[in-house]
Amino acid sequence: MFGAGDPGGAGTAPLPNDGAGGALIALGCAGLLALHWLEGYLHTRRTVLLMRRLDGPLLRTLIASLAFWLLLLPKVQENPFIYFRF
Amino acid sequence: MPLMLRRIGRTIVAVLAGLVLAMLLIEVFFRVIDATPLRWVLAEPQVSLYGPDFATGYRHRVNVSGMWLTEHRNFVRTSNLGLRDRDRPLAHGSGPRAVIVGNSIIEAVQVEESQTSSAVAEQILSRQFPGAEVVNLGLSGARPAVEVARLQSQGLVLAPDVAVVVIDAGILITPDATDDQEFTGYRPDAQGLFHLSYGFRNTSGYRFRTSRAGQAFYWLLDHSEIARIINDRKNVGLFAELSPPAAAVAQAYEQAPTGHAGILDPYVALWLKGEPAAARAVFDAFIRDLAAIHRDNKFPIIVATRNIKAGCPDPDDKRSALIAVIRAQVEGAGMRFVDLDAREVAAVGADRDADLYGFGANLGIGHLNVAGNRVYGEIFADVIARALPR
Repeated sequence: MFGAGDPGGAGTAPLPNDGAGGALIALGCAGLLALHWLEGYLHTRRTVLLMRRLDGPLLRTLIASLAFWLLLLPKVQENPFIYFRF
Repeated sequence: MPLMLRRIGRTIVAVLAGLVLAMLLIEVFFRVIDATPLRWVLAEPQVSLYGPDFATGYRHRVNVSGMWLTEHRNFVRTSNLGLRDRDRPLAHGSGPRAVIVGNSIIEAVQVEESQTSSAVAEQILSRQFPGAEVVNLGLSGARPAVEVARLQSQGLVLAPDVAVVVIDAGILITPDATDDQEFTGYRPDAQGLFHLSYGFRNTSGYRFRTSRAGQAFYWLLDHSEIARIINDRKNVGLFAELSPPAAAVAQAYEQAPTGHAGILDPYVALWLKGEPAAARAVFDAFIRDLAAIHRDNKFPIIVATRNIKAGCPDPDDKRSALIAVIRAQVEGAGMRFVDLDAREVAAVGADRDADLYGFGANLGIGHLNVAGNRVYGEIFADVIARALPR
């Protein structure tokens, strides 16, 4: 990825120069790990009890809507020749 | 009864609050992704670059920025003039100015702006001609009619000293080359002569996009992640993930990574036999209209063909005959001709030219990568330098 590893397989794309220094990249990685931690936390007894206490139309609608919006996001288009859309 | 009504009311309020809260959370979530390096890895809505245009049907909107996700992630920002280009004044500077008209190969949203072929050509030419400018007029999906209309409108406004028009041969053999319902097309008149046609101007979609409601819609696209999610989904279709890929569309534009028997047959039919007749008429009209722009505005126009595979075994020498016919027609109309595929093979070799296309695991198939844009930029710098008045 980003030009690392085997040049034949990775292409010629360099690391994007968007001002992301070491600390920001480390923060990004920590953010990704935080998602795993959050997922693990959801499986704890404490969270299940908390969710049972908060159970109701608000929480159910919130979770169902979040799932809906994430499903609505199209998966990344790999076909390079799908052209412009408005 | 009042108690029951109150309970129903409370439930409705809770459901609505849940919907609004979810929207806010999604909006914040994707804004955080967009504002941090997480945008290089996580899923997010793609930037929406295009808006309506009276001359071509569509074009880039001014100063729009965001992540391009298709094929290769890249941060894209359109210029102050609404081009896939660096910011620059509309007025001609002290140095010579060239414009390059083409499709997504020239637009090159997959690489940084400074790595596009136009930017590379500008960097090279600036050493020889101080203040030289090469303006990128590349527009994704541009067909011959759109290219002519773009040169007539945006191109002439920039007062160029030379114009390069890159025509993708693959697009000429697609069946919908005469469609004008979404953008400018070539349509035959009563005598069978093909002219630029602007049927899109009468469509409800175009009328909406140019209305106040359309402006509000584009404002939302520029400022709301939720709006972009809805628009992206509308564009790909509700059940797009369940549909087979649009292979036919891909074939029409694809740069063949390797040569094979019969690869040139559609082009031989088009240019040597004049079949299909409509496609041939579109090409003739394209050359006729470019020649008229050249005559009326007195600057050189270079017609550059691409996607006519070079460097393959060709025992019958079909390709030479084909290129000779195209060259004769272009030069006969008073313009210059460049065979981009032959120049590309001459630059890197027939066995390496596939490496100029695609990214990552798809190396060899797709748009020009950084190396490909550099090679094209060097070719453009050379042909523009030769065409500029000394």
